[in-house]
Amino acid sequence: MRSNALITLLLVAAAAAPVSAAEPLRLETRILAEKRVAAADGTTRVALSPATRAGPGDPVVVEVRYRNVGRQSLGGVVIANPVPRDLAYRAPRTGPAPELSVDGRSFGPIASLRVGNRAATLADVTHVRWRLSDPVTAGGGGEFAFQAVVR
Amino acid sequence: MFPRFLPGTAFLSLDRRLRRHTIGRHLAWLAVACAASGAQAQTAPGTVITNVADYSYVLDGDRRQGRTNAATITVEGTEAAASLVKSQTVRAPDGSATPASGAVVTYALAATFAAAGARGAVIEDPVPAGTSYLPGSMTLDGAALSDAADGDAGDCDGRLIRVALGDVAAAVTRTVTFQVRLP
Repeated sequence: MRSNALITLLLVAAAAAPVSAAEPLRLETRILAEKRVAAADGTTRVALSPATRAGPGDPVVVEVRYRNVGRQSLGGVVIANPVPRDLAYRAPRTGPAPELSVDGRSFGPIASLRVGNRAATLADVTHVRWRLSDPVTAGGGGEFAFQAVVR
Repeated sequence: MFPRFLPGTAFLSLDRRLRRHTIGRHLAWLAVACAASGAQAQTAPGTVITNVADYSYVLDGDRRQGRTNAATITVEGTEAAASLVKSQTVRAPDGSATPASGAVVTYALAATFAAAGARGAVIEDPVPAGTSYLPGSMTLDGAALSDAADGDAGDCDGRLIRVALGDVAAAVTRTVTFQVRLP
């Protein structure tokens, strides 16, 4: 009897767990590549599409999309994206420019960063961070993206 | 005086990614420049680049943390789809190989394609400054090409050699030659 009760309790806890752990903030990251698309009139335009392969030197776009799927506003949203080692940060692409870091601890514009006793360059950037000044309302969302190049 | 006619810089461009291949001294110079600038080695083919972002937010007074999915991209091999090697032979009016005034230089441009072949391959080579192109001297794999922009693959306006190889199906070497006269 006692063990049955315990099992029941565990089952209830297991069933409840996903609900209590439901993440109100959903984030998805994608790596996109620029692709030239030929139009019927002979012109070409550059389109972004999810990429699975790229060569050294190729430009790519790293995108982070977020959405509040909960019922309450979410404040103080911070998204910290370590720049993959084999990518070199280049520029903001979508949304506000991220804060940059060359050590993952102190963030700021590139001009404020140093590596040893020299000024940092974009190739030194190891982390980017976005801090949302406004709460993300229920159902709200957005996206950030930065341009990088495969080292 | 002859060395200043060396080397011409030849280009081989392919349809998909205009990869340009230079030859001779230019290639060596580029290698030296890369070494001098301490350029980082290229990412190895097959490397999987993964992007993951951490996030946090405040809900009911608590700061909560999470991590995104992992987006990946695989680095392609950079083995050249094609390479271009330029060589030359000199024949002086006296029959020697001295690069004297009036000597004729025969340039050979050998384009070697990888097994996957290539699309829309074009070889271009400016006629070296100061030399005169010998009209009608262009060949492709030993067959003569006319200088006019007509039905065959080659044309030359006296300043630029251009040979459109088109789609190349498999591993093969195609060789273009042309001649110039030294002033």
